[in-house]
Amino acid sequence: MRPAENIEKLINRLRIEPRAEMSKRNLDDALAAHKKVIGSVSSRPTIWRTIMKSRVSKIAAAAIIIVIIGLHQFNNSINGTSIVWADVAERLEKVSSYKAQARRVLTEVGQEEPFFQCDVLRYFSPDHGAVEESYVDGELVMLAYCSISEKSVLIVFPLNKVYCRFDFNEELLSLVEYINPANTDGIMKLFGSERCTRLGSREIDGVIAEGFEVKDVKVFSQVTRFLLHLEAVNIHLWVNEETLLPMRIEGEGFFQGLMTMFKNCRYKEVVHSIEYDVEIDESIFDPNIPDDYILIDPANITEKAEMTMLGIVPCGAAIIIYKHINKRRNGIICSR
Amino acid sequence: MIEDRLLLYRFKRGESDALRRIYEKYEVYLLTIATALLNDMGSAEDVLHDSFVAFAESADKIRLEGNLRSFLATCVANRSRDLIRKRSRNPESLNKAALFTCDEKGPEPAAVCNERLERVARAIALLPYEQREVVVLHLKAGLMFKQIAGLQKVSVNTVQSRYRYGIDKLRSILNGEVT
Repeated sequence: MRPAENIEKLINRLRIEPRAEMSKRNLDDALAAHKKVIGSVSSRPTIWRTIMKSRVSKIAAAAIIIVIIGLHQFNNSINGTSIVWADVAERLEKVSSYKAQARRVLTEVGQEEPFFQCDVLRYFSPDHGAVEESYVDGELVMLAYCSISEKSVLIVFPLNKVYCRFDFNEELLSLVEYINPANTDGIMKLFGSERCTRLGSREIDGVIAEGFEVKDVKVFSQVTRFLLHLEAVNIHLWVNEETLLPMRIEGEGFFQGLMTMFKNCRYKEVVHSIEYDVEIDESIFDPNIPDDYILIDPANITEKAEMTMLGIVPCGAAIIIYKHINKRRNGIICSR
Repeated sequence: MIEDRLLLYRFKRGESDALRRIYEKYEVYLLTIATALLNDMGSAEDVLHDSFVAFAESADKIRLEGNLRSFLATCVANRSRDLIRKRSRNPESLNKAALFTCDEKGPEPAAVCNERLERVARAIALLPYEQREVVVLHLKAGLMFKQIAGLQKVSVNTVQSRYRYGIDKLRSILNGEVT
């Protein structure tokens, strides 16, 4: 035997070739077992509602904003000089991670049916950043990875097998810094205490929570306006009276931009089921993009987006993204 | 990672193709782990079979936030340990010897590589089970010490000690073959 320092490598290279008959038996039995539970799975009411499926293109470039706004709302709400807010801020300073669920609905003004709606799972860790998984009708349509260390957002569309990457400019980066719950200094800067009013107490999921409202939040600047021009944003934050931690966040407002194909829309998001200091598997934050996924050129999108900002090509970026994604999507649908 | 999460969601929604893909993707990986732990091809096949059937039956219950690969490896490790316990009561149950083969990454001829792997596999089989489990799950399955600690219900320090002792013993066994 050669030097034993190769042991680690050798063990890693161990491999057993399965016998074909064993593979067939295992797979057949597993499939049969799976089939037995399929009925109960499909007959149970799904937590995701039936909604439009083909709106992926409209959330492409705006995903970066979605990541920011949700987390931003969360922290923005820690405002004011009241004793409660100070206590809440103190509690949040000790939070090391969280995960939450959210329901996001866009409805065109004058219409009743939503323009787009999705369910979101959100993870945050100060060491790794934030991840959002968006589901439409139970199908994972988008993952957004917001990396603080790399100062970038990676948006992946698994159904289309495409992804794009945005680097933060300084202004966006300063916004992203607020997603760190420990950053209470930044939180305090965002809101003036005089804008916060109390909504009283209410029971949510069997827990007494105290509500606070902040009206007409100015979240976005000129830099992000081409993607998402938000107006009249109101945020309701419900704080668990026992733990002094936010347990439900309701945000709504009006906006238009690339995300809505420049339609004027009502935006509503409810963040719920927030769990703090949870252990989050590191792999959640690792995009690990499969080799066959295609990178959409971010320079193309950014360039067009800047022109949009100047009003030169109002729909340029939207068209670019739409074409890129739909071209790919059509191919995939046909092959199914 | 993305593929696994998609597969898992499709699997939970009842898509057979997703289960098939998961099986095909991890069959060799899991069979190798089971075989290295049990040093018995027939038992390893049974463990893989039972693990996947149980996994399939859990489609409506499973809530997995971590890594699918690690989760499956942990299932296999748990079943292997149960089998080892039964075996200690029925020692005659050990049967088919395992035949490890070289993966495609090595530069040397396959026959030479296979022979070296067989020696390593034989040496692994001589380790006390707790050490063997740590060495195999860390080096082959890619589990972190913390994950193994959870599985063995001991501290991370204990797992690290078992790993050190295991590697030292392997070196000793393999060096002994030279002399």
